Amino acid sequence: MVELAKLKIGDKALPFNLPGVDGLNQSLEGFSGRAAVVVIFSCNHCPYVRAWEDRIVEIQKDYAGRGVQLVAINANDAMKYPEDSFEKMKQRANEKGFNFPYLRDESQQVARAYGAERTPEVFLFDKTGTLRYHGAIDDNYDNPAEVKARYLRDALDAILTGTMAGIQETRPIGCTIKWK
Amino acid sequence: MLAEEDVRAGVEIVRVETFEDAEREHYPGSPTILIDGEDICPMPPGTHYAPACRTYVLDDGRFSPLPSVLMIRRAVRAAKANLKNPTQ
Repeated sequence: MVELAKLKIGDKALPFNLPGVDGLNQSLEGFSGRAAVVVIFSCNHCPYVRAWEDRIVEIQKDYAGRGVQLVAINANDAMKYPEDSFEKMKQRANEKGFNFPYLRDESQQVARAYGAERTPEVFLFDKTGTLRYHGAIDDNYDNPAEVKARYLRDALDAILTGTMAGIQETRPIGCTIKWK
Repeated sequence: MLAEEDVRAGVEIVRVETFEDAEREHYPGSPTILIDGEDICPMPPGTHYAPACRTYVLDDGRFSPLPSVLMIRRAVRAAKANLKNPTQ
């Protein structure tokens, strides 16, 4: 077992209420009733995020009809990394056609509470708000055609069929969150 | 790769750990590869210098935290050609 986030498999999701690029605040409670909620700590400037970005959009598209909600949260220090400013987040969401809320964690309190360290870093909760998968999206950031293990999709499929994910935790691959 | 390209050159690794380092070195992120002082993938004016990861756009349009081997090889060959034909 790898040493990972503060939140452990089986823990309950921690509440948040954060502003989104669409001008609306989104809270965890607002997603109650969903079959699964995927919280992804993300950002604009990280090349690993950019490499996975289209796959994140595809996952939301493929699972939206089955009650799955993705939420991306950017906690990076935008003073030191202006590419991660709220304005730039809006631009990125528009450019890439994000089909999920993209939220700003300006205080970094949510990222710290979850114990997130990387971008992208996935926390998948089932309909009871219990953490069922944590880690990377899949096993190959570099080339979607060469992915062998689809961690997040496999965990979602498990949740949606009422079974346990075969792999519940992997080491997140990406840039470190840029703390203030 | 340098040996494969029949290039004899010293390789220096420069640690860039602070924003001050990044500004001084005109460093847009890790990794940045300079050949004879020239970035193998020149950045546009106004680039933000920071001790951060760097995004490369590969030939097929994919984003990557690393330049491809082909990108590095092309830059080595261009530098080598430039040495042979310095006026071009």
